[in-house]
Amino acid sequence: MIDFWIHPALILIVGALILPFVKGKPKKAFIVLVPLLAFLDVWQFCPKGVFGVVQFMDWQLTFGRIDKLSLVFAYVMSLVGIIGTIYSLHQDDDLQQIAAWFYVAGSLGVILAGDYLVIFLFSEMMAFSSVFLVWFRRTPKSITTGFRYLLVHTVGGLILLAGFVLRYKATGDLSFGLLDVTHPHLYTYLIMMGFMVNAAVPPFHSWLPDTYAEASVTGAVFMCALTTKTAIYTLIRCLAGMHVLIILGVIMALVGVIYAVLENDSRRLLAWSIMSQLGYMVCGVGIGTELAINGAVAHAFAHILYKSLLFMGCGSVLYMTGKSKFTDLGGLYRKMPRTLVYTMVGALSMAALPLFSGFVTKSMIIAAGFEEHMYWVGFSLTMASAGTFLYVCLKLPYLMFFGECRASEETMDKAADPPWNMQLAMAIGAFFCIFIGSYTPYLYNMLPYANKFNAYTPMHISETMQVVAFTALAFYLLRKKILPTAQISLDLDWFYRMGGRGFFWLAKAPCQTIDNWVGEIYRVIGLVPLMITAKFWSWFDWHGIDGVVDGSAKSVYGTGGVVRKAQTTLQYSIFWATAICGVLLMLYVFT
Amino acid sequence: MIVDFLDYLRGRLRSLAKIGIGILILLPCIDILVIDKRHAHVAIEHFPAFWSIFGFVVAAVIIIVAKWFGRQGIRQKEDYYD
Repeated sequence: MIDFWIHPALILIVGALILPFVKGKPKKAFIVLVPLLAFLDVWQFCPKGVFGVVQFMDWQLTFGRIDKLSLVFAYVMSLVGIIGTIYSLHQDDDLQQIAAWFYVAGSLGVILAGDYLVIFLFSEMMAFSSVFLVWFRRTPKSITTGFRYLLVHTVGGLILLAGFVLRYKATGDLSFGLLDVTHPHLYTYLIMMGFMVNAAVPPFHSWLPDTYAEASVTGAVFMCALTTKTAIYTLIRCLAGMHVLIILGVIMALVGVIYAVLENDSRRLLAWSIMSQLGYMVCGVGIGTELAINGAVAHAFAHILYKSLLFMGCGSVLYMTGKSKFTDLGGLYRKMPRTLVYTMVGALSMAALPLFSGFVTKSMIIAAGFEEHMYWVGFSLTMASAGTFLYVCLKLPYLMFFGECRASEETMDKAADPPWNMQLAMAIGAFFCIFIGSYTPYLYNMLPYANKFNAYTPMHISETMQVVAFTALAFYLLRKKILPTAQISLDLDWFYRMGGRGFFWLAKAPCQTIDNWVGEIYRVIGLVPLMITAKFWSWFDWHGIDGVVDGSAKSVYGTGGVVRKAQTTLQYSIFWATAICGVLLMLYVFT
Repeated sequence: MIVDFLDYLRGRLRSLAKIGIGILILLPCIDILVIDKRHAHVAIEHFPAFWSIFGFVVAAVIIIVAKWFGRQGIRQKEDYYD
C-alpha cells in the first residue's frame, strides 16, 4: 500500500480553479488534460484501501474508501468526464466547464466517501454545480427549471441529513456502509428517501425529465451520467436487499417506458428512458443477491456510456438545428449521417441487442429476478426491454432521421454533422458501447463480485431477437398511433408546480384582500376621525388662538414665504446634506 | 457513403420487407427447432416461440396503454404551465 494518494476530485477542482487563467493555444490541451489526469489517477493510482482520513471536531471523515465497488463507479464517472469535456471543447465558456468539473468532482467525492458527512458535502456540491449546467442554457425556461431542480435536491439533501443525524443519535456511527435492511428504522427510510430523490425513484422522479430536457446541450451529457448513477452507487452501498426497492424499480421501469412512448421532445424522451433504465438498477439493488448487485453495477456502467452517447446524438441535432421536438424534425439522415450512426449505436446498446453493451448488463438483473423466483419481476423488466427497443430504436430514429420530414426549410438548411470534437466524443462513446458488449471480460472483471454469468447463451440470444423482432412488427402495425403530437405530458411535478402557484394565489388573492380590508377599516375608523379632529384644531389654532393673541403667526408665515424664495439653493443643499447624514446614520444603527 | 447506403436500402423497400418477414418466420422456427431450453427459468418458456408472442403482445399493450393514458388528461398543450 502506498501512503501517497491524490483524490481525483482534487485534480478536477484545482483544474477548474486554474482554467480561467489559462489563455491562448494551450487552453484546449489543458481542458482535455485535466479530466484525463483525473481518469489516470482513478485507473492507475487508486490502490484498494482507506485513504484521506481527517479528524474534524468529534468526527473522523473518510475521503477515500477504495474497493471494487467504489472503483468501478469512479472509473466510469471519470471516463464520462473525459467524453463530456471533449464534447464541449468547441464552446468558449469557462464557467460551464468549471461547473461541469466541479460536478464530476462532486460525484467522485460521493463515490469515494466513507462516511455520511463527506457524502453530504459532495452531494450538495453536485447539486449546486450541476444547476449551472441548466442555467447556462440561458433561456427563461431553464432559469425556472434550475430553481425547481435546486429546490428538489435541497429537500432531498435535508431528508438525507435528517436520516443520518438520527442514525448518529441512535448508534453514534457516521460511517457509510450497509444498513440493517431486514430491521429498518425510521432513519433507514429517511436515508433511503434521501438517495431516492437523487436516483429519481417515484414519487420523487419528476425533476429528472423536467431538468435534463432543459439543460444546455453539453451540460445534459454530464447530467445524464452523474447524479442518478451516483445515487445508484449509494443505494447499492447501504441498501442492498431492501425489498421495497424491487417494487419501486419495476414501477419506474414501466412508467418511464409509457412516458417515453408518449413524448414529443427527443431529449425529454431520453430523460424518461433514464428513469426506465434506472428502474432496472433499483430493482437489482432491491433483489440484493451477488448477481443482482453485479447486474446493477454493470448496467450503471453501460448505461452511463450509452446514455451520454444518446444525449450527445440528440444534443448534436439540437445544437445544429436548434430543434429537439419530433414535430419539428424528421428525415435528417441525409444531413447528419454520422450523428445517426452514433445515435443508433447508443440506441442499440440501450435496447440490449447482442454485441452491444446493454445486452451483457441488463440481462444480469433480469436473470437475478428469475433466479430468485420473482417471475413477475423478470417478465415486467423484459416487457420494459421491449418498450425500450420500441421508443429508442424505432420511434426515435423513425421520427428524427427517417420518416416524413416535418422540419422547416430553415431547419434542414442548418442541419449538418456537428463539429469534429463532438463527433470524436460520440465516437469514443460508441467504441465503448460496442467494446463492452463484444468483449465481456473488460467489464465483468471490474464488477464487485466474481462473475459466473454468461450473456451469450443461445437461449438468451434467441429470446432477445424474438422479442425485438416482434416488437418491431407491433410497431409497424401500430406506427400511426405513436406519431408525435405537439403536447407535453403532465407528471407528479404538477403538484409542486401548481402547488407553488396555489401558494402565490393564496398570498395574492385572499391574504392581500384581507390586508386591504384591514387597511380600509383602519382608514375609516381610525384615520378619518383623526384627520377631522386634527383639521378642526388646526383651524382653531390658526383663526382662534392666533387671532386672540396678536396675529404673529400670520405675519411670521408671510415673512417666511419671502425668505423661502430667497434661499431656495441653500435650502436644497442643506436638505441633501441632512438626508445623506440621515441615511448614513440609519445604516450605522441598523447594521 | 452512409447516405448512399441508406438511399440504396430505401430504394429497395420491397426486398427489405421480404427480409423482415423472413426474419419473423425464421426466429420462431429456430426457437422451436434448435434452441436448447433445459435451463429455462420458467415452465412457460417451453411454449413454442413464447418470446415472439410475448414481444408482440407487450409491445402492442405498451402502445395502446400509453395512448389511453395520454388521453386521460395527461397530454396537455405545450403552454400549459405558462
